[in-house]
Amino acid sequence: MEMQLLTGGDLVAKTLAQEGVDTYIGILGGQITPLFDAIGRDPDLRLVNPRNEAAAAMMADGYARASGKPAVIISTVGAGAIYSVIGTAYAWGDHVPIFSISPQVQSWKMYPAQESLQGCYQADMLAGVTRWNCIAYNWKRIPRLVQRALRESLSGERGPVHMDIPVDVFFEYHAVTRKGWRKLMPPPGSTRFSGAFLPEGGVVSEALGLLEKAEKPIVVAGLSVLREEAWESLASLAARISAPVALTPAALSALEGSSVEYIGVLGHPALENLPKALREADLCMITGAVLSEQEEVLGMVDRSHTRIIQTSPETELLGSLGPVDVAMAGDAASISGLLERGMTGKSNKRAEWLRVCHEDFDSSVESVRKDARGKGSGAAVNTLGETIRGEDLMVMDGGESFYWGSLLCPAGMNNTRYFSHGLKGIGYGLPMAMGVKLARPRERVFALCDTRSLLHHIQELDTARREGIGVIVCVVGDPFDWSKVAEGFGLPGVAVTGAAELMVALDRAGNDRTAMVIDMTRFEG
Amino acid sequence: MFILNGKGVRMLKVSGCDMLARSLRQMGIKFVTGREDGALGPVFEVLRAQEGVTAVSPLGDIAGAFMAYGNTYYNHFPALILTSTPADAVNALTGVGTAWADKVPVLIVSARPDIRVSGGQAGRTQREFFSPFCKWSATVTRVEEIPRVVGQAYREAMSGCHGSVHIDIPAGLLTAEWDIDEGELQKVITEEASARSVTIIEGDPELVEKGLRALLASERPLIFSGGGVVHAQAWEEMDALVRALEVPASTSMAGEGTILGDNPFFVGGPSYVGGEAFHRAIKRADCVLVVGSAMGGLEGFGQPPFWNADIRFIQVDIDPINICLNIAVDISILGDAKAVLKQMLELVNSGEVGPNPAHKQWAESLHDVRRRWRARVEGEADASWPVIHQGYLAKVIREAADPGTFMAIDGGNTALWAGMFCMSHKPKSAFFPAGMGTLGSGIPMAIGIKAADPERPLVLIQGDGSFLYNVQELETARRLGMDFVVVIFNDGCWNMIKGCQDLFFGGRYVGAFLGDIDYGAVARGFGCYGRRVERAADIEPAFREAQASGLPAVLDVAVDPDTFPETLVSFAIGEFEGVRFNPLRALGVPKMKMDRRLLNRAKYAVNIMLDKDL
Repeated sequence: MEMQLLTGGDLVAKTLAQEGVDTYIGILGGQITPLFDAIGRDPDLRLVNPRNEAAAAMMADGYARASGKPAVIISTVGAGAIYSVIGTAYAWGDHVPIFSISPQVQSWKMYPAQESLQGCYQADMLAGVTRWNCIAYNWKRIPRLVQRALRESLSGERGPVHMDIPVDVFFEYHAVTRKGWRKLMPPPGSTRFSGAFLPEGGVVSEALGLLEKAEKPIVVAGLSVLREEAWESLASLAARISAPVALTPAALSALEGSSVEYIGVLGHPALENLPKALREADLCMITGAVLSEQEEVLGMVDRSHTRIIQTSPETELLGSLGPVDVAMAGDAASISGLLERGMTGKSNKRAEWLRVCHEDFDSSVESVRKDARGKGSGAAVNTLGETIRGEDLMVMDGGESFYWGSLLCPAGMNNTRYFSHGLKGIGYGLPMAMGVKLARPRERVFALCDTRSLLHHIQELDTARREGIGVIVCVVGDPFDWSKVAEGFGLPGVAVTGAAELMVALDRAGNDRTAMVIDMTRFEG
Repeated sequence: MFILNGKGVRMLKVSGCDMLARSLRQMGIKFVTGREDGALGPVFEVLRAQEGVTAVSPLGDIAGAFMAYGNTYYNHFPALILTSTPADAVNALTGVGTAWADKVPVLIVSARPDIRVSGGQAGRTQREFFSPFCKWSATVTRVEEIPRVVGQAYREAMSGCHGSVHIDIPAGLLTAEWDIDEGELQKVITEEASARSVTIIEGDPELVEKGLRALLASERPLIFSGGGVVHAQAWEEMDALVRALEVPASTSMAGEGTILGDNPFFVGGPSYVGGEAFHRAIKRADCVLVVGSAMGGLEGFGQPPFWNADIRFIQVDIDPINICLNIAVDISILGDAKAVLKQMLELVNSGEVGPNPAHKQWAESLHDVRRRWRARVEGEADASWPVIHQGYLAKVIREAADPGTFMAIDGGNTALWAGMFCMSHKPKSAFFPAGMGTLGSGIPMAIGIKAADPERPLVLIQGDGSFLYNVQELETARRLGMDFVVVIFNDGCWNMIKGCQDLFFGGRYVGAFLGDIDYGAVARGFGCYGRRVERAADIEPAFREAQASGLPAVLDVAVDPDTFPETLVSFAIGEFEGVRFNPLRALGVPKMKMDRRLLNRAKYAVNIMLDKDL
C-alpha cells in the first residue's frame, strides 16, 4: 500500500488544495518552514512573497474579492502575525473570506506565555478581527480544522478566519496510507454546505405583497451581493420591480454603473439624491447587507411611512435593529430569485418613481463632474474614467480616490470596483490591487490612490516588480514626485498632466507583468 | 470660553479633548504620534504646540507606534500614541506588541466610535486589540475622570515591571463639556495628572546579603544582567558591582550596555552573541546572580542544553511573577534593580563582603577564551572575501562611526552580525527589539530615538529583507530634518530562512530570495541620499559621504548570501528545542546540499554551545 510521510505543513497544503485554495501570500519564518516546503513541492500552488505582512493580508483581501475564493495569508510567529492582523482587520471590516495561518512557539510554552522569543497571544489578538479562530494542538486534527475554518469563513456573512499551529505540530510527521488519508480527511464536496439558503414560503408571500403594493420602493444592496456573487439576481429583481438600487460603499459594482436602476453609493457626500430617495421611499428592501451596513441604512429611512424588508443569512440578526415589516432568512441570490419569480404585475407609478430617482442621481453626478472640470484630482479621475475600458478593474483607496472614483469611474461590469469600507482605514490600494491582479491576471487592474494613501504600502512596488504583477497605479492628491519613486523601485513611472498623455501612458501599460505608476498629482486637464 | 457663575467665579467650559490635552501636557508627554484630523486631532494639535514636545504624523499608519516605542526606550518615559479610529488602532498593534515584548511602557489613547450596534465593525472596542499587549487599560466614562485616569496610566506603566497602558475614550466624551471654575481646573489637573514618582522597592537586606555571600562563596560565579537593569537605569551600579566583586559577568540581549566593554570581568555578549566565552560561562557556572531578567527564550530559559543543570540561581526582580518563572531559584530578592544593586554595592564598600581570590582563575580562563574567540571571528571577517563579508562591513562601520554613535538595529541575521561586531558595550548606545525581533521597526524607531536626542549621530544597521517594511518613513525623517545613516546588509535573501531551508530541507528554497534590488535608488526616489557599495574598499568613503550628506542616507552594501553568523545556531536550537522532527527523512531529501564550510561552522557552533573542548 502506498505510503507518504506528511508533516503538519503538508496536511495544511493538501487539505486546502483539495478545497480549491491554491494561492498563498506571506513572509517566511523558521517555525512555518514545513508549510513553505509543502507549497514549494506542489507545482499547482502559488506563493507570493510581499515586503510586509500587513500588505500580504491586503493582497489576500483583493484576491478574495476578485475571485470569490479565499487566499491564504501566512506569517511567522510574533511580529509577523501582528503585522498581518492589520490587513486581516481590513478584510474583517468588509467580510472578506481570507484564511490566515501563523505558527506558534512550542505548544507546551505558548499559553500562558513564558517569555519565549516572539511568543505572544496571537489567537486572542486575532479573535477580534476574525469570524473564527483556533489553535491546532494536534497533528491529526489539522485537516478537519482547516475544513472547519473554510466552513466558518464561507458561511453566512463571511469573513476572515485564523489558525495558529505550534512549531512542534508543524514539524511533526507521520506515515499516511491512502486509507489513512481518507480517515484524516473527508473527500472534496463533502465538507461544507453549498446549496441555496431559502426563507420560508409564507414570509416570501408577505414580502411579495409589500412589493406589489409599493409605489416608491427602493432596494439597498450590501456587500454580500458581491461575496455571494448574487449580482445577476439583484439586477433581475431590480428590473422586474422597477426599483432604484442604492449600493453600500463596500458593495460598489454589485450593480453595473450604466444600469437604469442604479442610483449611487450610500454615504457619498455629493449624492444628495440618496438621502432624499430613502426619505421618500414607501418601501425599503435591504438585501445582501451585513449588520453594520443595515444600521447605516436604517438610520436614513423614516420608519413612520417606510415599510422595511430585511434579509440576512444570519438568522439571529434579523430584527436586531428594531422592528421590521418582513424579516427574511436566506442568502441574497436565493431571496432575489424567489421575489423576482413571484412578482406578477407592473406598476406605472413605480416606473415613474424610478425615472425621477434616476434623474436625481444623474444630476448629482453631473454637478460632481462639473466640479471635476479644470485641474486637480477631480479632473484627473474624470479623464481616467473616460479613458478606461468597461472590463477594467479598479481598487479605490480612501479619501479623494473614492470621492471622485466611485462616481467618475463607474463599473462597466459587476465586481470590478473595490473599496475597503468597514474599518475606514486607508493605504490598502496598491496591495489590494495586486491581489485583484493575481486573481484576474488577464484584466487590466488599476489602483486609484492619493499621495497619502499610496505611501502607506509603497514597499509593495518591489513585490509587484519581483513577482511580475502588472497593476497600473494612478496617483492623485498632494503633488509628489511619484515617477522618481517608481524608478527607484525599478518600475516605469510617468507623470501625466492631460488626457493625451494619459492615453499614451496607458498604451505603454499593455503588459500584464510590468507594474507602472502614473503620477496625476499635477494634472491640468 | 467661560461664563461667570452666581458668585462671580469664572467658570470654564472644558471639553473632553481639552481635558485630555491639559492632562497629558501636565503628565509631561515629550513625544506624540498621531494626526491632526480625526477625533483626537485637537489633542495632537495642542501637544504639538507645546514647547519641548515632538509631534510626528508618520506617512504610514504602522510606523507611529514604532517611533513611540523607540522614543520611550531611549527616554525611559512613556511616549504617546493617539488612535482616532479602529483602523489607526490596529495599525499601531505591531509597535505596541514590540514594546510589550521588551517591557517598554508606551501610552495609547484611543477614541472609540460610539457604538450603536454590538458587532458593528467600526464600533468594536479597541480594548480588544490592545489587551494582549497592555498591562493596564481603562475606559473613561466621564470628562471629570480624565486627569485621574491619565495620572494612573503613568503610575501603572512605570510601577513594577514596566508595561504599556491604554486609555479608551468614547468619541462622544471628547466633545462633551464640563463646567468647572478656572482655579479648580488647574488644581485638579496638577494634582491628578502629574507624573508622580513611583515608589522604589528595596530588597530585603538579609536576602541581599545572603545572596551576595552565596555568590562569592561559590566556585564559578556569574552575574547576568537583564533588560530590567536598563529599565531601572542601573547600568552604573551594575558595572561597578561587577568590578567590585571581580565576578565574571554578561548580559541578556535586552541588557546590552549595562556592563561596559572595558570591564575586565565582562565575558562578552550580549547573550549568545558573546560566543564561546559566554557559552562556557553559563555551561560551567555553579552560581548565577540574575538581575532584571525573566530568563526567557532568548536566554535559553536558564536551562540545559545551554546552561549548567546544577546552577544555584539568585534572582533579583521587581515583579514576583518573573521570579522562578523559568528557573528554580535558591535565593530570590524582590526589588528594583537599581535599589538592590546599590544595597549590594554598599555591602562591598563597607567591607562586609569582598571579592573571593579563588575566582581569579575562573575569571582569567573566561577572559582568555573571550580573547581567543574574538581574535578568531575578527580575523575571519576581513577584506579578503570575494563578496563583502558581513562581519567586515560591521567592523568598518564600527570603526568609521564617531565613538558616541547610537546603533539601531533591524534585521534577522543582520542583527546578529551587528551584535557581534558593532557593539560599543556602553549604556544607551545600541538598540534592537530583542523580544519580538520585529522586522521593519528600524527607520521609525530611529526617528523616535532621534527625536529624543537630536544631536547624537545614529547609524541604523539594517537587513535588506526588513528595510522596505516602513521605508516611506525615510521621507518623514527628511521632512523632520533628521539625518542618520542606514547601512543595508544586502544579501538578496531572507538569510535565516535560507539557512533553515539549507539545514532542514536539503537546500529546497521556497520564498527565500529577494533578488538584486538597488535600495540606494529607492532612497533617492524619496529625495534621500542613496548609494550602492560592492567593494570592500568603498565602504568607508561611502559611509563618510553618506554622513556628510546631511540627509537620511542609505548605503546599500552587497554582502555574501552564502554565510551565516555562527551565533545563530544557539538561538535556533532554543527556538526549536523539543520539536520532534527529522524532515530530511520525512521528506525524502537524500542529503544536505549545504557546503562543507557552512556545515563545519554549524557543527563548530553546536560544539561551542555544548562547551565541548575544541
